[in-house]
Amino acid sequence: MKNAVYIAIAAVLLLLMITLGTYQFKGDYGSGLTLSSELVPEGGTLSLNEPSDSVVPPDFLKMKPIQPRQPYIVIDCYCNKLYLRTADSVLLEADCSTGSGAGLYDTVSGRNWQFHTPKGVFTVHTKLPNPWWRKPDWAFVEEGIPIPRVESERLDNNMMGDYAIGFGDGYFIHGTIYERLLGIAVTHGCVRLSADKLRELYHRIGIGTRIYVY
Amino acid sequence: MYIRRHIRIGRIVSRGLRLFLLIFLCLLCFGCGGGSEQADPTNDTATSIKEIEKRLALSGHVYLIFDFNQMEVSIKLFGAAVRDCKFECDSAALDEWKSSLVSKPIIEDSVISFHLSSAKAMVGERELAIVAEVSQVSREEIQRFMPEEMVLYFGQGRRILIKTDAEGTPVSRLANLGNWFRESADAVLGRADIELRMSGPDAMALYGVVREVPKIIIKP
Repeated sequence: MKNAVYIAIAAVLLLLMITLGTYQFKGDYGSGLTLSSELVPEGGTLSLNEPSDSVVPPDFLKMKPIQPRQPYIVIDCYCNKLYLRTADSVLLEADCSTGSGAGLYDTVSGRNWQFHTPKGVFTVHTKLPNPWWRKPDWAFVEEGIPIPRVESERLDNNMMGDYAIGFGDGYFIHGTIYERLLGIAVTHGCVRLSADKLRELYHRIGIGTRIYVY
Repeated sequence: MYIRRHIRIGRIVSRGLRLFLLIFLCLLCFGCGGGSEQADPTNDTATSIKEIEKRLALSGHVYLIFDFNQMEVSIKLFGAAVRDCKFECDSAALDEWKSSLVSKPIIEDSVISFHLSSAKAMVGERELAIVAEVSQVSREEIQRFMPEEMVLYFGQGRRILIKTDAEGTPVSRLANLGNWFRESADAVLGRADIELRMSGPDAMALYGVVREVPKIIIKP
C-alpha cells in the first residue's frame, strides 16, 4: 500500500517535471505573433476631425497584433500606393490617392473638417457594387452652395466608380473620375483607385480583410 | 531474526533507490531545461525580439526592423509587414558596423532625426500648382520625394546613410551644409555609421515613415 502511494507521488512529480522541462525547452514560442490569423470584423471609429497621427482606435486594441495569414491591404499614404499582399509576397500594387490633409471651415455653422485618411488598422466592412455617393455636408460647404434639405439632392451615382470597399466611419476605397491625379494626395480621406485595379481588388478580398494604413 | 534483519535492510535499500531515482529524474528534467536556455542564446534573442516587437506592435504606430543578416528593413504596423526594403552594403563596412553593435544581440532604438540631402520631386510643377489651388493645401504638403540620399540618426550617435539610383537634386543646400558639419563632428567622435543602397521606391516608403519618428529594432 505504502509502495503504491510512493509510486503515485513519484509519477505525479515526474509528470510535473516533464511538463515544466518541456515548457523550458519550448520557451514562449508556442504563442508567436505569426501563429494566429484571427480576423475581427470591426472597423475603425475615427471621425473626419480626428488627427491622422492618432493611435490605433480603441476597437483595434481588441485585435491581436499579428501577421495575418490571409491576404491583407496596405495603404501607404506618403507614397500614395495601395498593395494587396501576404507576409512574403505582393499580389497587387496600385497607385492611389489618399487624404490631402486640407482643412475646411464652415463660417455658417462653425464646423471644421480635416481631410486625412485615418492611419491604423481596419477591416473591410462592406463591399458595394455600383455605389452611390451620399454627399456629406462638407461637399456643399466646399462648393459654396447651400446644404440641401431634400435627401435625393445629396445623391451622386457617378463619383465612386464601379465598386466601393468600406472600412468604417464613412471611409471607402473606391473609383474616381480623376484617374490622372492618382499618386497624389488629393482626397477628402477616402482612397481612390483606377477602375481596373479597383475591380481586381474588389474580387480578391472579402469582408473582414485587414487594412493597414500608414 | 536473521531473515527479519534482511527484510529491514531490503526496505532501506528500496527506499534509498526510490529516493535516488527521484533525485536523478529531478536533475535530469530541470537540468536539461535550464541547460538548453543557457546553451542556446538564439532562444533568448528570439524571445526578446518577440517581446520588444509585441510592445511596439501594440503601440499602434508604425515601426521598423533593421535586419543586417537578411539585409532588409521591414516596415511593420500592428505586427504585420507592410513593406520590406531590401538593401545592399559593403561587406567590410558591414563587419565594422556589426562590431560596433556587439553589446547586445538586439537593439531597441528610435529614429531621432533624419536629413534628406537630395531627392527627386514626384509631382510636376504644373500639377502641383493646380492641385494646391483646388485643394487649398500647401505645395509642400502635396509634394512627395524619392530620396537620392538621406541620413537617419539613431541613439548613441549611430547613423545610417541611404543611397538610391534616383536622379535627384539637393533639397536645401543650407541644410546640407549643416548636415556636413554634423557628419564631420560624428566622424571625429568616431560614431558608428554605415551606408546602405536600396531602390528609390523603397527609400521613398522609408522616408515617409521616418518622418513620423518611428521606434526601431536593430538586428545586427
